[in-house]
Amino acid sequence: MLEQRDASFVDIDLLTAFIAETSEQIERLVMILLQIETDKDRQSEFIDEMFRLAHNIKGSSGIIGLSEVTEVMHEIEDLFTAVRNGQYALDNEAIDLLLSFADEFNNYLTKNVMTTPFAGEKWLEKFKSLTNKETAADGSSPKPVPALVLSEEEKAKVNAWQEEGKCVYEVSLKFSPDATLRCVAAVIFLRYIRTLGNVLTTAPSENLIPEENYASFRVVLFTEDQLTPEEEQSILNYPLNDGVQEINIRKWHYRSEDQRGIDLAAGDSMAGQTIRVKAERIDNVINELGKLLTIKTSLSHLYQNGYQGKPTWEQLAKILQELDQTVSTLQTGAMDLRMIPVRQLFSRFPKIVRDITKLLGKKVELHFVGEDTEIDKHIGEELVDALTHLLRNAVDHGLEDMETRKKLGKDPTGHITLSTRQEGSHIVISISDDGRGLDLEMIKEKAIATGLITEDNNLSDEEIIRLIFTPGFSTSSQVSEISGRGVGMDVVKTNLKKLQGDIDVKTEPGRGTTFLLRVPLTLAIIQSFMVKVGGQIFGIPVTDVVQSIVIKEEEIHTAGDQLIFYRYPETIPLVDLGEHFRFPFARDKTRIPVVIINSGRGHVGFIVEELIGLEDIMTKPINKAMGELHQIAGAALLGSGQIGLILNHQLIAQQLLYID
Amino acid sequence: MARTDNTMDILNLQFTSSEAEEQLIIFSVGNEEYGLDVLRVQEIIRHVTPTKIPHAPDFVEGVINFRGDVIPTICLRTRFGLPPRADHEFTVIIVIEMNGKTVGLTVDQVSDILNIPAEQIQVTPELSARPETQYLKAMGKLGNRLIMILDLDKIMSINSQEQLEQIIAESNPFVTGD
Repeated sequence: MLEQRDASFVDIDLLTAFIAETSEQIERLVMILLQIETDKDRQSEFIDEMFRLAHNIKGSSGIIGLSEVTEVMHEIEDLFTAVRNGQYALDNEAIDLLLSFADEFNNYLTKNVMTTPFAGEKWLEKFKSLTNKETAADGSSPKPVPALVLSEEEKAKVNAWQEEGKCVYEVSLKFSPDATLRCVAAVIFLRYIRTLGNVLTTAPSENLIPEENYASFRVVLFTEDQLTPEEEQSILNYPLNDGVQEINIRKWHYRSEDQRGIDLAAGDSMAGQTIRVKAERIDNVINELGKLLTIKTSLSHLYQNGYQGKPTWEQLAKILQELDQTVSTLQTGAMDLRMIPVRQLFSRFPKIVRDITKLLGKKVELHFVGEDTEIDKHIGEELVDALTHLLRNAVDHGLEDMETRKKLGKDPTGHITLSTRQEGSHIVISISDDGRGLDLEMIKEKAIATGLITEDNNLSDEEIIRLIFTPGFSTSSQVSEISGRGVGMDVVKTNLKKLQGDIDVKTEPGRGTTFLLRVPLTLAIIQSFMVKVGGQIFGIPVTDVVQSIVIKEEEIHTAGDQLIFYRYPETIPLVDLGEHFRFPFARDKTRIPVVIINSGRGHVGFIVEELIGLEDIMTKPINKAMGELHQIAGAALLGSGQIGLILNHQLIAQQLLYID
Repeated sequence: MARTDNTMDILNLQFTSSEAEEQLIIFSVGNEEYGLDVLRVQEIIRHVTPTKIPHAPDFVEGVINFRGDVIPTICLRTRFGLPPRADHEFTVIIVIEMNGKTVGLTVDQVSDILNIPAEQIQVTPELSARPETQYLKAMGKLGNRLIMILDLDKIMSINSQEQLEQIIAESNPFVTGD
């Protein structure tokens, strides 16, 4: 039974740091595991790091007092030790187990760490049973495949050999379960291999062969030239006794140091509310703050010297100029603090794609381009859900299954590319798959079936594609576990709109689909259309302003109690903001300023007192001391020192016009 | 204006240098004098006309720019059921920390920073249903002055049915909770 954890004794700061650090480490561990899963022979390459990660988590969970976690991490550490010593190799079962543990543990970290102890019992048992299989092995039953571990020195030798253009092979021999005299067979086999080239190392190591009863045996072989087909055949058909199940030869491909680096993203990552900032960036901000202090001192000197006519003004002008420069550098510097490379956000995607592909029996390779592009942390996090959705869709609907791909002459493995780049003040992220492309006919039929369009609507291809962003539209004819629950693209689009971004799609039948997401670099500064209502200044994010016009009283009509206005070719409902806010103002009947906005469900006109124009504003949250302010999205300090309120225009329109 | 600023400087200097825990900042709203724990006060600033917030409760005057942050101000006169003041010659905003949020309290005048001996402080008796009595924590006696010590955390909370209804009526009828 889980007892309630008394969180009061845990230092909150310490716990926050622990959660951030640990989720980072778990994330890294997951990435390594995924890498190993596709290429088991690389476990030796990563085992030291994996061990270190497990060890760190064990240590820090101990400090926090999460003893249940410490115990499980201890078991995992043991497992990695076994791998490191070549006594055990991570197989699919072990990797699956570690991955599902990582999932649950991460979940625990984000949700329950304050309240309940970690349910470590079952994991303890599971990890124990993994390693137990091996310790239970006695003389008669074979040991599992040991890992081939290369020492640094040996790795260097392999590299040097390959750099000279010579070949390195890995030859493995697997005994059948009922084989006898395995060690003798292994020694004889090794002797034969030695006739073909130099043996670098073996697993298990040569001196262990006679002692233990291993299930398999591996050799790393150096040859001057490629093995001839005859030589390969002679190895594969080497006449050992009938205890041999299979022999394999694999040529090692040369990978330079930097290529190896690309495989795994750099270890820096982030979690929760904390953000990792390069010290250099903080120094920049502090430097600028120092300059501000100097400016302040010069200002007070100027004040103390008293007014001396023109020279005072000249000095003041000089100080102002300095101040202007410093403040703008400071602003950029402070913005930089919020920026993180997208790599940190995307590190979770390989796991997500892996899980779906496993479920669907597809093979997918995920490629990343421009992972170092930086994005505002907040925007990035808001984007993750949308991207996850699109990725799932791409795997589920976009890519054909392996059979179909083979038939079409495509690579049976599907490819999805996630590329990120900066375009001016925007970040553009594209997700492209090389699948079947969107089926325009099907989209059209579906839209007709759901009543979105009628048969006689003559839509262009572009317009048909856009239909997938309409609420309630889902192309999948079946509701599957992965996607196609009817909520989909429209939610993605709405979320992007919230970030003042947009989404577009390009598709080519048989060649694939690309989704293009565009979001502003940062949300803190937005371009806003400023208006006056009842003497106060309000801002409307410019991305949703369609047009501002001036109309006459007689152009305004009423339908029931709804004000409307006809502008070719549509009728636009009007909202009198002064009346709505109870900030009355006098209206000049011949000149009524109206801002037409896109409410997300059509155009709406806001009647205002005065149109001011565009301004770049820095938005500030209004603290919630007075509860939620639904109709106000934030505030901005204006150049005049006044405060302008940013309208939550979509909500206002929705609440007043579409009560449903 | 200069006089007010001077007063403000002296007051701010006083309360930042006050060390004793029992210090109270004394201010008046209407005809009464009130006290606030000095440690809760961040700064005292001159009254500025706030930016009004549509559909906010009536005691929320609006928001002001306080050192680059946008903070709401609460008019204690309105909160205590008094008519608003026409002139703002002595009106000040006491910037305080309330439930972890920075908030300004608009009061008629700040007069003193005082220490009231513990034996002169009395826990408030149940008085009446009048709004201001619900925010009282204790009463202090200082000579023949009666100082009402405010319970800050109750100022924003809505505990009379009447007010609750008023706020619901004031705010948008379609509010769904986001």
